Amino acid sequence: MVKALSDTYLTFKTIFTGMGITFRHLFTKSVTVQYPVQRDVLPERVRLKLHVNIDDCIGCRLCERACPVECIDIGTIKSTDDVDLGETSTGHKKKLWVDKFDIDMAKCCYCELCVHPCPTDCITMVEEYEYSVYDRNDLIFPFSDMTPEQIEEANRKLEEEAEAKSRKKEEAMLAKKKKAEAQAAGGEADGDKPKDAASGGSTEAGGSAETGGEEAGGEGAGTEKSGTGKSDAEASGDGDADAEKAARRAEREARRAARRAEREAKKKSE
Amino acid sequence: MQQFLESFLPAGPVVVFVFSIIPLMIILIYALFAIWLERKVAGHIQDRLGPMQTGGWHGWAQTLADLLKMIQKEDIVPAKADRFLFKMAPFIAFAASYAAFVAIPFSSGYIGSMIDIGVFYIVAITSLLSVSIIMAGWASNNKWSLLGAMRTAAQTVSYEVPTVVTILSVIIVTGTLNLMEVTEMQTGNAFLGFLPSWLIFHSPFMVIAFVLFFIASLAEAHRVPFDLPESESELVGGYQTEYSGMRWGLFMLTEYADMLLLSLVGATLFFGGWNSPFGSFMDGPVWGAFWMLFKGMVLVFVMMWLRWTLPRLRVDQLMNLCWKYLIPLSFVNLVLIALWEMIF
Amino acid sequence: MTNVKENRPGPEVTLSPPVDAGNGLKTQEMVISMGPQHPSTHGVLRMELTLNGEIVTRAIPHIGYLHRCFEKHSEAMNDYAKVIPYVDRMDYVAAMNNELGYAIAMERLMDIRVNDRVEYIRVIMSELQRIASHLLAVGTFGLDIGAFTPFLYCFIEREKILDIFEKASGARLLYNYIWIGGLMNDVPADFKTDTAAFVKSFRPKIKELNDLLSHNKIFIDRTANVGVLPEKVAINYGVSGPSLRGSGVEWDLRKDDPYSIYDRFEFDVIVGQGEMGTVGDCWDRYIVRVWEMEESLKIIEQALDQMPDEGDVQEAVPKKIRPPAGEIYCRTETPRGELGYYIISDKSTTPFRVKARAPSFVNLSVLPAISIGAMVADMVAIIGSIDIVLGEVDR
Ligand code: SF4
Ligand code: SF4
Repeated sequence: MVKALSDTYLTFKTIFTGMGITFRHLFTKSVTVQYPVQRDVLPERVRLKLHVNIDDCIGCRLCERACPVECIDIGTIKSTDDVDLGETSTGHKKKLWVDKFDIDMAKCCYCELCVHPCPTDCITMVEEYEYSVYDRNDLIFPFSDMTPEQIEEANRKLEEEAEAKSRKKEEAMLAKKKKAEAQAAGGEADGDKPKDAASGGSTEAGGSAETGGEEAGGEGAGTEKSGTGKSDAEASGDGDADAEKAARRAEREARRAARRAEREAKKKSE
Repeated sequence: MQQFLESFLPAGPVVVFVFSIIPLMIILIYALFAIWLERKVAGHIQDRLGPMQTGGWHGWAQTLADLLKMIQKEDIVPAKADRFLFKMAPFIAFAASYAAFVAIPFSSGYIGSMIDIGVFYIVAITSLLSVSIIMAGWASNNKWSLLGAMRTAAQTVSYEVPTVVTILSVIIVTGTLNLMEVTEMQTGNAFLGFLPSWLIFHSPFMVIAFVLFFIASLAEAHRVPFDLPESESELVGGYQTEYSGMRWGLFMLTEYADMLLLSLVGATLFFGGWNSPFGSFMDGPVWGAFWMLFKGMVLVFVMMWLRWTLPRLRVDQLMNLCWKYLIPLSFVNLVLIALWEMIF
Repeated sequence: MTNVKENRPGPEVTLSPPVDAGNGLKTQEMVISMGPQHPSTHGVLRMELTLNGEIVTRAIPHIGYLHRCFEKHSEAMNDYAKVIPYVDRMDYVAAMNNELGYAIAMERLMDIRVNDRVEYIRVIMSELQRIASHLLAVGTFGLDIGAFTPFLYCFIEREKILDIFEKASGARLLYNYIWIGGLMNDVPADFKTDTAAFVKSFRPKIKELNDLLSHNKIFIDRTANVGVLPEKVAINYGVSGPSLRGSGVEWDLRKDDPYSIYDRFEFDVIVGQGEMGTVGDCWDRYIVRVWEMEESLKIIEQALDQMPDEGDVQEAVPKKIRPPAGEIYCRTETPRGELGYYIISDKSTTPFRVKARAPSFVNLSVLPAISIGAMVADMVAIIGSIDIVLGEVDR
């Protein structure tokens, strides 16, 4: 009986406390943001959409390799000696045409792993979040600004150059062969050497003329390798990189801020 | 009212029709408003805003838009369901609560039917609701629905007892079952010269009776904390699980109509029905209707407020509360009120 | 054609034979599928319940609806850092804690030491995340019991934490913020004031939550003495985290096997005391979470005081992550319990194996043991009180 009474008392007491709280909330200010009309002020680092400033991209593919879901697809064409692609705003020399730079935002997991390794800070997260589409393929954002004609042109030039180079190399090889033959003819005494040269002549030549061989290996493999070479070089140069790192990051932050300010100014002017 | 209608309408069935359609209009308009209000109350209690877009001012047309959407929806009947019962259930549910409004005196000039057993009739006809819910739960051929229906059967049967007993204790005082007469008894200022002579001020036990009645009516209307038949976090949707479109909408309408019905009964029995709280000031048939609905809405609001505050009871606790607390208490209260009547 | 029934996975449910109820009617148990589209199974858990009326006589959880091959994915990554986004997605409501565990495991494997600023930021972040996660657990638990409003109050507070995270990392749910050897970014300049303001504003909210929900009589009736998990059973099943502490076992890895810098802070380990019913009931598990938020606030306050202002958060981030061949098991205390990573390295940049011991998965296994004899409504309470995240159960 006593328990029943105290239970009843407790029930009413707690119910009225609860009602008091909800009643107070009835008149407190709502936290709702009336979205399309009002918008939250987003913090600086929001990750909403990737943007690539293609003018600054050197086609190093570091971003592509950093992505855990493989949603960045980059194609590059090596530029020929007669064209100068200029420099990026960060002072990096551009050596590759970037004929394809597709980011599939439908696959992207917004982890921002691609943003950090970029040497020229041209891949960034921007404050744009209303880009839903009806077709999933529309979420593949192409960033390359090359026209098909330009791509063809670049490919053709590269082929021509490669042909020229390989011709040169063949000539060089021939010359070498001749030299070897001459040597062989000159000294009959070392028995196995001439045979070796005759059978594996081409591979040895390829190995000795390192850069030439790589270029002859076709554009895909060539660019891939040059990319790796670059990253490895950066990785091995740990000592000075460490010293410069803080400065570099500060610089990067500043650049990002500047870019954001620019964008905002643009938005405002619109 | 009937005479008033007859003065400009041809007599006969038309007048009867117009006369009987009035509660339906009230229910529909009220439902539109109450669902909107519920959303707003829920929203603001939870520090949100609730609907804001549809119709301009604070989303007033949201329910209307939802209604249009619901009407357009496909009428889905599960393949293995008992088609006839499944389709009938929502209509019976709504019919039951609509029929009950006939005995409610909306104002001194309007009552659907001046039946002498008004309260008794209301209590009886609302029981139909549980029949329809069991129909819906059984016909859906869904185990969750069935569980919901089972709970409802148990709940309604138990809660009818305290409701009737508390009503009975009011009837002891009034001596009539006719709600119009009950209301008329409460006209004027009786107690201490300034308190309206509402039954709730009649004796302290009346307050207890009201609290008991209110709790029982929450259970009757299946509102939190007694919304077990449809408790969505346990039984998915209870008996409504398989319903969609307008059939579901009818259940929704019934729920709100039931809330209003019980609130109006509560207002009539305890708060003077259509009587103005200021004596003869702001009195009259039109003001009467206003006061009646206003009092009903206040109770409805409290129901909403409770809903957004409290968790839900478990089914055995619900029974516990009913049989171990409400029923004994209401009987004791009944005796006390009777004694009070005898002494004073 | 193959018979679908024969290929059905999982144990076959055999019903008890029909019983004569004595009036010519026969009654039999009923099998009901709770989930995966049930509103209260916290995602896509499916419970196969055998019911006698509303009483559960058998409960079999079926999992795997959210399986995303976390471990296989990790083995396919050619960089240990790329695993972090996947780690985030295991327990998606406590991503920071997941990252922290992984980062610490890798740092131990590679013998990296991070500086104090990183440690403090990590601790603050993971405690904030613990609060956020407990808020969600407590809120949805209330929702399961039928109280809608406390859930949204909890969410309002959780949003504030997510705002702090967003300012620091740019993301609100899956941060990829704690890196191996450091952090993605340093925290913004106003981080300290933001966090301190949150801590200050949050204390009264715990009280409000207690008034509105924890001490509500109906809520107590619904949760006390329900789903009692005795101490022995909990230990036998390997339950960890608040669910274990709710059973009265004082076991918190932050105290008992300190990682990071948790040994520098003063806080209490909250255990269930059976205040409202039996030790180890749903209410105890619930209240442990509520008071743990308070303890987390204490840790955050201390950490904010002690945090050094200087320090490069990327100082120790390795350029190339190539751990020495070997293996490591490292466990940390996430909001759900003991999260262990077992990592094997074969000296390449690709992980040979990353296995996660997910607390939710282990905690879920105790469900059949404690739900016998409960009612359907209690089932909902029990699932809610164990606080599983299906992303982590299935991985
Ligand atoms: S944000 Fe992450 S997932 Fe998206 S493109 Fe960059 S690396 Fe890939
Ligand atoms: S890392 Fe930067 S520069 Fe390199 S390919 Fe990607 S976007 Fe271009």
